[in-house]
Amino acid sequence: MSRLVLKEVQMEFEKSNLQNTISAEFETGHIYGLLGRNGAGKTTLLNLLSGRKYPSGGAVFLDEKPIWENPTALPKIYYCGNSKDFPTTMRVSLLINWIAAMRPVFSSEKATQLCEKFSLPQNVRFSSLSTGQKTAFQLAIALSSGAEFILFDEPFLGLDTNTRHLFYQELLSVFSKGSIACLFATHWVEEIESILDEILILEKGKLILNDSCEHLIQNSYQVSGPSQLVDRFCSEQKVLRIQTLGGLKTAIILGPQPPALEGLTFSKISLSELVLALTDQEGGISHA
Amino acid sequence: MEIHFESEKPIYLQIAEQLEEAVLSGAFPEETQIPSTTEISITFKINPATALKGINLLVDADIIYKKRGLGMFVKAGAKNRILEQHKQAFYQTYIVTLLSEAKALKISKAELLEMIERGYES
Repeated sequence: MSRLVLKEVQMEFEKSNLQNTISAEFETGHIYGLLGRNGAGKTTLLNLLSGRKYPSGGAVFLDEKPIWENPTALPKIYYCGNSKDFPTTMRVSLLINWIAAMRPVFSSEKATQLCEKFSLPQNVRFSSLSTGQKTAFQLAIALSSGAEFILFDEPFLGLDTNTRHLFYQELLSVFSKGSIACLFATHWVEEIESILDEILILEKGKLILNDSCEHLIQNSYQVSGPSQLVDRFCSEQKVLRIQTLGGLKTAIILGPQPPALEGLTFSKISLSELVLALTDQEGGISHA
Repeated sequence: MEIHFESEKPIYLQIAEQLEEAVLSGAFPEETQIPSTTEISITFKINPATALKGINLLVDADIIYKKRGLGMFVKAGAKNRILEQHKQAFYQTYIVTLLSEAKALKISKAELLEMIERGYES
């Protein structure tokens, strides 16, 4: 089991004076969701984790050794994002060889196999591929990287349903075979929530939540009923979000679901609803 | 085989129930191998740990056992054990509720038995 650690890493937000540090640990054998709104700092965090960005404070460690410019650690972490760090005018098949030359543990066979599975033409230039095809190629590379920590940054750009479906199949297959960890940084929670087991939520450069899915599901719920009853109930709860529809009120609460109460309906909420409630402009945990 | 993500029932429990149904229906015969956690997680697009949690419920209930290095198999007698469990659950879900409802409606034991006989005849 390997561990990738962020130790008091400085996060700057929008050139403001708001500076805060983030500490978090990632272990192989888990699939993490790094969730948050656009501009929350997810890409920055992944760049720090993969050694593409030097932290102005704190450090990143892999199995207790700093990763910065560390040739042993860096191949074990792979960042898959929208920036193309390879010659985009190269043909796909040649590009696979080029990447193999750059990365010692990369598998060209697997990459070629996955490109076929994703129906990618191998003999055309990368730049002539469609948006979705470009994304699919990068995912094929990521899954063949041989890394222990694969960091996916908004990996669904332009992907059609069939390819997404194939991607999950391959991802879970790769995940189950080796001891790896996957991190998904995305705002599209609904798409990914079923395969995550750990969640981190970023808001304006701050880590506002770091918990297991299981614990979160057990400690969040929705209560609805007549406004007066809901208001009375909520006065002693950690309320994240309230919605009103006429005389009917619905509130999302952080905490264990209580036993049945007269006049109120309790139900579970999805991860995406929870993330929405936590990162809401007007509500959210920062204001609770 | 379907998972309802919006259901109040936890996913691992749904997995266990679906696998149990498959054993009951004969889709997974006794002493044959069942799909791996990887296959199950891929089919339902869920985290492998969740699939494992569901499977472990069945291991605890003596429905499935693990053969080291080979995989997971349906235990002999699993089908009967599941039927027994379902019968117990039937008693709780239907009979207890039936009796309580009958009591509320002031239906006597004799009347109730007569109703059951009538149900069998039709």
